[in-house]
Amino acid sequence: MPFLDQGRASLTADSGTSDQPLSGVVVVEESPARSVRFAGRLLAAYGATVIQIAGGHRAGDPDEVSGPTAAYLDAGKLSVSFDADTLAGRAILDRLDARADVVVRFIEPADASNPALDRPDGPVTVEVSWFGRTGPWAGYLCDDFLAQHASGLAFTSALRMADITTSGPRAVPGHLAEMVAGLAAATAAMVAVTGRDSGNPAERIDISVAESIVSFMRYETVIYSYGWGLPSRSKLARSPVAAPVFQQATADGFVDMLLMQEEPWRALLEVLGSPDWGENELFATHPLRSQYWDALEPLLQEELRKVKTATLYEEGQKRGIAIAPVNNVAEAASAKQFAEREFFIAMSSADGDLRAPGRPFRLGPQGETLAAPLPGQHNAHVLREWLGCSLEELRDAGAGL
Amino acid sequence: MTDTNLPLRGLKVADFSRVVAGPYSTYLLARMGAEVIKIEGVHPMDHTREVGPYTDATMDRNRSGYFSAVNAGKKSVTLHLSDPVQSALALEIAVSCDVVVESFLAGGMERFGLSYESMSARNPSLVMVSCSGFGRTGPMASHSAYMNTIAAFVGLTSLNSNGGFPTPIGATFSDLVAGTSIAYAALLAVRRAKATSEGAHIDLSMAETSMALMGEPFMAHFAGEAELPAPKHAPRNVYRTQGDDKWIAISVRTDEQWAKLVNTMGNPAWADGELVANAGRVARRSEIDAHISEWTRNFDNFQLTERLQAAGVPAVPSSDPEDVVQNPHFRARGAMAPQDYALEPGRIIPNLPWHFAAHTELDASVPPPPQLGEHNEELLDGLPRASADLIAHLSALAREAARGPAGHGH
Repeated sequence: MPFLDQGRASLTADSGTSDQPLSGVVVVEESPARSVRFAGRLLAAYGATVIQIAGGHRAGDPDEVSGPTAAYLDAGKLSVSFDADTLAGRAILDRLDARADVVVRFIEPADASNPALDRPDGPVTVEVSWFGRTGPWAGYLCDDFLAQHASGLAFTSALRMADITTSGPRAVPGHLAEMVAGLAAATAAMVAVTGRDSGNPAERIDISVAESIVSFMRYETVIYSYGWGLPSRSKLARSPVAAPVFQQATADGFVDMLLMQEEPWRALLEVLGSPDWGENELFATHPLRSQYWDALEPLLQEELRKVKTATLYEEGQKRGIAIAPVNNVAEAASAKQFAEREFFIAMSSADGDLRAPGRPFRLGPQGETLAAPLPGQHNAHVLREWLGCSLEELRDAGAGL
Repeated sequence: MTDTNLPLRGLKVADFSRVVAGPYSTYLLARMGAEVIKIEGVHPMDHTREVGPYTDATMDRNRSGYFSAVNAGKKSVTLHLSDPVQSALALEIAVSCDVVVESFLAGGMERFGLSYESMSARNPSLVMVSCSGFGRTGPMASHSAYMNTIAAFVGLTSLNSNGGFPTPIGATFSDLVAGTSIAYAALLAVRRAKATSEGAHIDLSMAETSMALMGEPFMAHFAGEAELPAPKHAPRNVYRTQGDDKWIAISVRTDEQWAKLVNTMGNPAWADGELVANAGRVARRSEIDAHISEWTRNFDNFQLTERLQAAGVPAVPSSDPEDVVQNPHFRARGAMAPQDYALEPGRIIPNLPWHFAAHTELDASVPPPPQLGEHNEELLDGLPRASADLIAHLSALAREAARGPAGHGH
């Protein structure tokens, strides 16, 4: 694919060097869902040429992505635009898919059981949907909020409520479930690409947004499966796996901590000025501190409220305690740690220059990340020159040049 | 039945990691066909062997449910890395692999003579992923961290604030995001190594992998907007149903769905007028929620979900762990599946986050975890300085440590 190899160097500098792991891999991103776009972002970040179809199937997008979020999700991609519902557009889509190494798309609940969407031969195909393409809930209507509730994430994110009789499980604001599904989709695609490189046939992969979170419910579900009883919200909060734990109020904010061994426990007592209750035999061992957390937590809270967050953090870390301030997003964005590691990057966008989270890990220099493309920006390069579409085909598919 | 054609067949991984993030990454690789060798100590051992849950609450480090859920499909060899002979054996195993995963604090592997440099000198294509809370560079490189302190530092806990009180995000979120990212990173680097014959040492920060998923709030912050906009539609909430702490979540996104919900509720008098339009519903969100709660509390949350979905209303049970384990959809698809482990037969645990159409056997069951040192003989026999006496000694120590009293492994 000589054209795209050249084109990527000029169009997506972020992924343009030949030592990028996914150099030469062409990904077609068929749907505008967050999960699919984040998968595409992760593949583009490591060298894949990702062709985003704007105006294709408007699937899986109940909360429209726009502005800075779109700039983040679509950075470093190519964009083509045509009407995939026309006969000519459908033919172009099929040709794009046939030339691709990986196709990533979202399947709406109404289409989950549609066999016409199956393509037995072709590229690695990653299909993301709310509940998957099979099973009794395949056709269920859903969104990120509901996916977090169905999967149990909302339950486990509402352990520390003042009154669980009035405060139900709570979904984390934003679209975390879809982002997790996007990470799973990129990783699954990479598994399949590895297999294909070794001579395996292309794989078809079914990813459910809800199940990508279910896969995270490892501790909470084994408690039940192993007969340790029904893990209620109050029980999980009052009998944690280790203690001290959780976010705690300080003199001027909050800290979070987890102490799993004796050394940090002794160190915490030292930081707090060796309170008398620290020698209580009920708190003498790690299992006992978990067992008697109900009694220990109020005593601990009284002492923590006397000390500033920065002091607890600095003195605690000096002594090997896993403790951290509870930052808001602005505080996290300005943390020295991330500045020194150059995690946040400069990125241009249609709305001007932006800062954005960089790659989740590096396989080389952070490099420049180019702006998200405008819809159809690469029609001429991709559809006309690389795919070889005629002007007539493009006109019939509504693809402007 | 073992599928010999899994995509990662032929990939060999040495896993020095502990607790959740690293082990989950190698679990994913093992399930997809890689040979994963877990190199673990007995004093101390992987903490998840010691947290349970155990059947009948009797500690047995070969039967910890949490360990089993993140270590299925691996092999175990027990080596005391502070011992020069045993660390040399670990080095032999590592350099025979394509990938090494480790999660010691910065400098940990070096202390045991297992630096990336020493390994890549023997195997230039080797990929090593070093996973730590905040990365191996920067002022926090040496900081102790667990998933909840990472979530707190990066802003996730604060995003989940409830009435001004930050609330932890569950499901060991940051650990498992990092674990998935490690698997992705390792496979990317292996692909490049095959093309260039050059390995890589990846410095993976758990904090940064979590922040990559937080593009939405960070971009809003940098653009000077509110971190996250309020929900634009109503009703969208959880509502009490029959049972102890049982709830149903409903998220109505269109006026048509609202009409269907009203119809399912029997067209109550309060649900008319300006509520037919979303703007009216958003303005009276609390009032609507109170009415819906009065209605939902008469029903079982799974049965009501079925009824609402049949009517075209987006709704799901707000699942607790029992609901997740028993969920007929997750069970039918194998997202929750029995573990094929003789010591704990048939326990239902979470399966993979994906389904490969050509490998449906992965959905049917989860393979067993390794018992402590179970593969000592298989993996150590024939290595330089691995005498029969030493292997027997290591296996005896592993058997003793597995069943010792509480705290024995520390």
